[in-house]
Amino acid sequence: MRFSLPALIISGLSLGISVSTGCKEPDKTVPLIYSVKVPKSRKLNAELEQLEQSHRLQSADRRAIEQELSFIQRGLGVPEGLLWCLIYTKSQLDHTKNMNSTSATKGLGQLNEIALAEFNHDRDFYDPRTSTFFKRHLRLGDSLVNFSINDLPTLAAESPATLDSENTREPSSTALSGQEPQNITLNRVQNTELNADSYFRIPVGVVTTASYLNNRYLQLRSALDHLGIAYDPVILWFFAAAAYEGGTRSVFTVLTHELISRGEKNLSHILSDMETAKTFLTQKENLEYPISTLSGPDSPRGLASESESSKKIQSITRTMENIMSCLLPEAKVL
Amino acid sequence: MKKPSHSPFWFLGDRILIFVFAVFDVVLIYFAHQHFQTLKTLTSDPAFLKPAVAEKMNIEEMKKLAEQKSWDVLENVRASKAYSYLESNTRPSPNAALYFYPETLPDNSFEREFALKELQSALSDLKKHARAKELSRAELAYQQLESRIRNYEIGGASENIKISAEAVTYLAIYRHLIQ
Repeated sequence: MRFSLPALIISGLSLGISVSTGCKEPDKTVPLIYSVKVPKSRKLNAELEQLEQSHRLQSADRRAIEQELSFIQRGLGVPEGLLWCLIYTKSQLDHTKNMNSTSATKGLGQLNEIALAEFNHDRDFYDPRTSTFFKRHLRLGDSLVNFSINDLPTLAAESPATLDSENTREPSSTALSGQEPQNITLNRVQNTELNADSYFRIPVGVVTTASYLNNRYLQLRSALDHLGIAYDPVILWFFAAAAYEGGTRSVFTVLTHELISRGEKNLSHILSDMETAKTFLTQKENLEYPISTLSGPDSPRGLASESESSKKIQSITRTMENIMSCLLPEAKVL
Repeated sequence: MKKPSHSPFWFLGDRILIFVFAVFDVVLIYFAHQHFQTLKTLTSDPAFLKPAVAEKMNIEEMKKLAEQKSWDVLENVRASKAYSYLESNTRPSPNAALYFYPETLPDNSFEREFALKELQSALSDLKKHARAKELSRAELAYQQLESRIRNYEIGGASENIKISAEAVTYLAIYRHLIQ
């Protein structure tokens, strides 16, 4: 009976706290995006197993990627769980994806030359730790990250799938998109065979992809802080992933539209509530109007054609759907 | 015989009307001809055009100034046009505002941060090196500016490499200035 009174007080206090916070169930996404123990869904696990059994994904490559992710989370603070899902969505962990194809996007994060230019001309602009990280971890110094494939004359002969850009393109994640597995690049190119500064090398690929995502995050965070808009730093990573896919301008335009049409409170809610953010980023209707104002047919000096705008919206929503369903348990997938 | 009317020109009949209109037309053509140049100048003034057309003309004018390497004149023209937007309480299109008149972006615009922080800092570097005739450094600064714009507009994972028409003109302007 001696312990009953303190226990009662503690219970009472906990109950009080629960009532005051609206008895909100803790958000399971928070630890998930910081954990590399993904994918959670059985379907994804089955697909990974299938990829490994068919030697289209080597276990050693997967381990090397996950090791890098962990290192990056500690060094740059980029959530490894989210990054794993982003990379899986883009390339199914195939570090040589589109290596020999004419496709503009290549490697683990399916980055293009424009993204590499950010590291080659503007490495520390968003995060001053980036150069140091590249130097210490990748031992790259001032080398420029590139899509060089060194002297690998046997590559095409060994992995014919790499030449078929259509087969290696979207949808990247078959389990996530619910389609039958397609041919993907065969990982016969050894990591050590590639140039030290090649984006196709696993450490370079993972670090560059992570840094690019980190830059988008810092770009969004800086604007939100400047405008004094409240947000959840964890949920903001999902918006950073959307900016990774479609450019920060698309995300800024969508956020500006929400701010003007529905007010700051509503915008803060979207940036702070997981379910709302998930719905917001995966439904085309939320992105269509604001993005079309930049490229719609009514705009005489528009960005590009209407179809290009639609493609952009489609690529953002599809990537976000895949990331969400990779990170969240199947039951919670929209 | 036709009955005489009270008009002193009754003998002209309906032909008087034709005569009056003919004289009027001649006078009109004469004055129109006299003021043709004035009218031409007036109608080409951006202030008399639709905002979208005027905006395009203003940007074209800046491009021409860049081709003449008139960096200072260009900056003055740009600043005066931005001022006129602010003065008249009107706004240019989002793309024109982002690249040419960032001062006119609303305070609650997310783009303002990018325009004033990222674009302006890259532009200051470019200007500094171009004026010091450090061509290789100016070229690097230009690539930095281009990289920021392209990454901002289309992202790093996109197959589509097209940027807005205004961004293309903006880059062309600064390409001319460093050549």
